[in-house]
Amino acid sequence: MAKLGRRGFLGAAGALAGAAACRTSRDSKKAEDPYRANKPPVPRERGARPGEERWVLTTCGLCRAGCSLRVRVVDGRAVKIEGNPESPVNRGGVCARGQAGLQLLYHPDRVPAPRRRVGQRGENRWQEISWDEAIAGLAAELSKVRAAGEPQSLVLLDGEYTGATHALWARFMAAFGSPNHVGHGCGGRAQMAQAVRKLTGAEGIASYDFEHSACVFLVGTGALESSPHAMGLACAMGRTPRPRVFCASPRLPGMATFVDEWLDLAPGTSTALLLGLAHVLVRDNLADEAALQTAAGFLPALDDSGGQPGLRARLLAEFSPESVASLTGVSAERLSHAAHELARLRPSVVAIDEEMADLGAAGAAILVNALLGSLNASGGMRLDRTRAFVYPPLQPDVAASAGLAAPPLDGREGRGASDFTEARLLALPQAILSAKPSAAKVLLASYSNPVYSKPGGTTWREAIAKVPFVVSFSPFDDESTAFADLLLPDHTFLERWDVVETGAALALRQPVVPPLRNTLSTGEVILRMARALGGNIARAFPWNTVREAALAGLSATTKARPSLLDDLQSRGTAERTLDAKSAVVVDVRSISWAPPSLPSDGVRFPFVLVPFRGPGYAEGGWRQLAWAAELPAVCNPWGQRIEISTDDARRLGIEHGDDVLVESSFGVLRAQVQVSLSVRSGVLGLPLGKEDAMAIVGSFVDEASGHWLASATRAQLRKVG
Amino acid sequence: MSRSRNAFPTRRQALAMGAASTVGAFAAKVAKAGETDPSQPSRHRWGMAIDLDRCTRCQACVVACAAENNVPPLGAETAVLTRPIHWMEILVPDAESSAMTELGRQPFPIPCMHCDRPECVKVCPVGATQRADDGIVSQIWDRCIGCRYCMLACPYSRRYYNWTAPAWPGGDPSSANPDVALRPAGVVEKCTLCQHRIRAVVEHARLDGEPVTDEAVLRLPACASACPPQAITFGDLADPHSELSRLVRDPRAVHLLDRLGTAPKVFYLRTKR
Repeated sequence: MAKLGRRGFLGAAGALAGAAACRTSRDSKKAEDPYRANKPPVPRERGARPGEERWVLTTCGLCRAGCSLRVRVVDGRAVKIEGNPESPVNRGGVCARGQAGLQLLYHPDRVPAPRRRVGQRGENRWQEISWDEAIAGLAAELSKVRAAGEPQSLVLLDGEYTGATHALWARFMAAFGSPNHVGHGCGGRAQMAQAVRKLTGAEGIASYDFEHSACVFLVGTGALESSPHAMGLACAMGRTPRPRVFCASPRLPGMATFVDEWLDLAPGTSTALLLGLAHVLVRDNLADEAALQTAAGFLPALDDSGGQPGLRARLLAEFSPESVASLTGVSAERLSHAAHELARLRPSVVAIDEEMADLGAAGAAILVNALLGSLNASGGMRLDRTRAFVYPPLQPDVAASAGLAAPPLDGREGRGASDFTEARLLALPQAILSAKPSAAKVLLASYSNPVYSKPGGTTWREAIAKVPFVVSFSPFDDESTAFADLLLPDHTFLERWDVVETGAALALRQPVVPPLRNTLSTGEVILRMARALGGNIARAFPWNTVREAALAGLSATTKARPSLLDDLQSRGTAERTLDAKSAVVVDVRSISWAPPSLPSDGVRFPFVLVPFRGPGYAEGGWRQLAWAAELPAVCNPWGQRIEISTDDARRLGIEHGDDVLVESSFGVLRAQVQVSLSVRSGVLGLPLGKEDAMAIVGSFVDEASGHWLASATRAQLRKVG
Repeated sequence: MSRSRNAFPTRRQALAMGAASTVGAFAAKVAKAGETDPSQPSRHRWGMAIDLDRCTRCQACVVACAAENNVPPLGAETAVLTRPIHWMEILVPDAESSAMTELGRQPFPIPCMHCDRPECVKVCPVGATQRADDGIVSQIWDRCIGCRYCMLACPYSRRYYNWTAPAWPGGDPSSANPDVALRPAGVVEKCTLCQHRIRAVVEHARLDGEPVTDEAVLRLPACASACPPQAITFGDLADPHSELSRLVRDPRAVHLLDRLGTAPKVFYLRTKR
């Protein structure tokens, strides 16, 4: 390395001053000038004194848990994420992924400005345009569709299920006249939302009050790894005495040594297991009688009524621990023991892995919690009825009414045509490809990257390629964005304003630093797009800023709680109170417990793939969060691995660290073997997150809900070399 | 149960409780005097407790440490060639190594043990590493010549060598903490117990003429402050009333590889199963 003389030092300082100008040619400059290599390219904020420090309260956006954060900003650069102790969600803690959030903000792959495609699709050749141009271009395409009398040919993939942007999207789709507002979720989260509505009539999804539970029964491993419930469970483990933890799953993460008892469940049999638990609770009179009395609508369903056979008889007849044992592989004794522990250690809760559930299992989990008296009770399962953002109903114009009356592309059945809870993402690519019941002309992807994260091999790629006009709102050059015609980059969560709605709290999200790139929050784009479209659509959005629009949506909430905004401003978070326990009425007749039928080709493909999301998983991939990707104790950082049981490894002559090919009927994947004591025999644990992991997973559909059955793909394993 | 970060008694309250004992009276006298002049030897002995009965092995501490101390990720190419740098990491013992430690088969987070008799300090030929009088085993990157004797000497393998220059994603270290120096290639680095945070607290206390309170340091290092179940407790071993000193007297407390006589100031709490 060359010596740094005083002259060289002055030169280096000069280079720093011009850092902003150099940003585009950073890589080439770095090679020539070694002194520039570690200088932050983000210049100090204008007017800030050197070394000036501030702490900004905001809310994490890397999953939907909604953990409150305090971000340290020095010289206008965000330098550290800490937890906000005021938050009932994370109590001051931050997970591994949340800590890596700054790597998202400062990531080099961020889209610098709105872009228009100039080359072929997927060629990645773009022209930067202004926001006015971009929004005018989008509005022109949308006007064309409406003028042709086909507003239903607009399809929106929406990755956010709560919050201001989601509420504004729903309003926009209603005003425009398209029923095709489809959520990005297709796994257990969507299943749970459906189960909650079917069984209780409540909107939204379940959350859990682990902090006050004495016993936790997990189905699936999400809460041990990366699901939004993981933070709640981790905080609960800090309590003395800590809750007793059961986990029923085909695999247990090697790190989860705090789980007291692992029931190695056969894949896809969680419904039977949970109904077995319900059987024992009813048979041994362990159910919470007081809770059953309060839930007035529940009792008729439990016992025979009006010629309808009740659930009690069916549970006792069909789901004895002995009979479910043959299906689940969990012995009758262990199941009975778990049921008795759940009854003994109150409050207790059954929590289902939201990413990997099927509809029956989600429903059965609600049922067992009802029997335990844990629905909307302290230490139990929380079902939200109230949404924070409510807009007054909209009068659609003639064109919109016609569009909304058209059959939705995904074939959903719901209360109304545009029923978001019933939307079926997995049916969408086939519908787009076959243009039935109608063709999709414009596709908007907001917080959604289906090419990367959805099962079914290349179907999404082909479907997106078939849509004439595709718009992505992603702040990153991702797999779906590569097929877009117009790119309207959103801020990252550290640069935007929002109010985040979670089960336990409302939380404020506010810009930690000014937008780093020429991005615009998607809420703002919706408002400007509506204004450009004019007429009834413009009238539906009379607000000038996202903040104004969000506050209008929150007005009912703030009326009931006048101090809300002050609380959010001063503490960053505001606790939500639970609904009255009696308000949850479980109607178990409305759900089918029939186990989903799984494909079987046990001869060619002897293993069942169990996909899971590890602790560093973030939608959009590992590469945005390098720290999370390099977590130690996950063998082979950056590479793909596959978990196999010690028995199977010995049988196949495979050792820890060997390279193997994992083959399913959808594709082949190269991976490194991780031999694990806590994987069920006949199961392969497949960590998602790398680019091609999802390509070998089939998009099997649970007929009851239209959503994904994650653990249904069969596979075989071959050693390489 | 209150889960506030400051749920533990303040040092003042703790002092009031223990005032009858002679130790308490002595501590009160010391506390009244406020923080010492920096030219005087520190009267603190910083240490840490990691409660394995609380720890969920979520690895939040691992990334929190990297973010606070500017430990860059290696990137896909380098990661497979060399050992990634983790001042704090979760070790997963195999059958062989689990028989050697007091912690058995369970994975455990492991920062530098900040030994009172550190092997690494003995072998350093240039005085780049030393035990400060507040107990922290520090590393001065500028003095390090990269001989890596210390890495061989450390029985806990808590030292890391920079085989390459730090590679920030896209070359952008904008999120780097200005309080911690970036390390060049060719030097050894290690956990500092976030001494920049400790020094800031001590210095503020000195300027205010106040003692350093237990609650001001309880979750001070980045790993402790991120930990969701609050399994990591930081504090002053020289203060008999600190939460840490209470934990060190817990029957669950154990030092890692105690038989080596390194006298670590980081210890574990675990229930034998």
